[in-house]
Amino acid sequence: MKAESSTTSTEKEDVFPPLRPGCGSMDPPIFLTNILLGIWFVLTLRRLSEGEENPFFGNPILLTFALTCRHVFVSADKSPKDSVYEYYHRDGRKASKLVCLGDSITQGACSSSFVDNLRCHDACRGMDVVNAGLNAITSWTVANKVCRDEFHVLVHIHVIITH
Amino acid sequence: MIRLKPDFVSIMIGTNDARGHFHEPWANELVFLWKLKVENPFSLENYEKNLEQIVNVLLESTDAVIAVCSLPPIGEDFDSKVNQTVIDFNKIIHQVVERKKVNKFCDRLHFLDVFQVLRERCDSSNESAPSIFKMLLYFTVIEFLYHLLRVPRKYGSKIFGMSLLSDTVHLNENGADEVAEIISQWILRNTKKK
Repeated sequence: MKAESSTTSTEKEDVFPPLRPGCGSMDPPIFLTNILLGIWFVLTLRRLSEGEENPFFGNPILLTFALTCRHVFVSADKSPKDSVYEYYHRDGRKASKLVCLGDSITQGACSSSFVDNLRCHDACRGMDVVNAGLNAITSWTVANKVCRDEFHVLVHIHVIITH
Repeated sequence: MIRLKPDFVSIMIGTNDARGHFHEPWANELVFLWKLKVENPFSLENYEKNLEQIVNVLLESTDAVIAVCSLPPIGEDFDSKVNQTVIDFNKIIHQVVERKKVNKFCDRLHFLDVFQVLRERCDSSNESAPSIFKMLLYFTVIEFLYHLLRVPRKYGSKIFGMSLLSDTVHLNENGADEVAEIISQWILRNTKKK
């Protein structure tokens, strides 16, 4: 029951679509901060058109707060270094590899990543360390989807949540 | 993942299952997210079944040496109710690994007790029970300090009296160091064998 080693480029795209990892769990807060920033922008434009002396709406601290919020949520969902997809499409792979499979604790986007630390250890010298962690993942998802290379499920869920 | 033909695989999965098992709103969130149609998806029985399936697939489809890690704690009060749930899940992990090792005469499957090591290393003063509110509060404050001022998470989590975790679920730099150390020691032991 060995996995096939030869895949065409089309098959690669089907199995590992170009998608950031995660399942869109951070989309609602990102959407909310986008709306807040949009309101701020519209109100500022209105002030500008009315010729107000200080056209920027509200306090700069509030704007910094909203921008940092957005940055935090976007960062929490970002792709880890050497994710499965990135690694699969990378040239110059080493002969030996360690794959770390897990949830957000492994992905390490909303916390410190032990996978990044592993790359600096002597034990992993001469070895590629692949981060197969995904936010909000459960044992069911790994058993039924990730282990079987069915990454397209993530696209499906991402599309449902963002629309 | 199987197509990568890994030499080593570390698995640390089940924290979300344990959260779902412990607290219904967390379970509802995950059921909605993954469109789970399984009845009682976060029961111990289903977790055991899923973990067995994961281990079977990896054993049969790869030649990798596999380490199944126990789950890290949720909150740093190791005797709390939620951590009793985590301990129950960790017992399942240990049982599955031991059973597979015996049934399949397998010497490339190992159990790494992350929970126990973190318990020994923990120097926490935060013994309050974790909740969704606390998780969000800790996450927001610690991540704000990290992204805005580049304050390491281990200092941010000290504000809340925690030493290894940042937002009661995820690891800070200290916790990540400990887990990386456990896995690297396991790799060293098994590189010699390979």
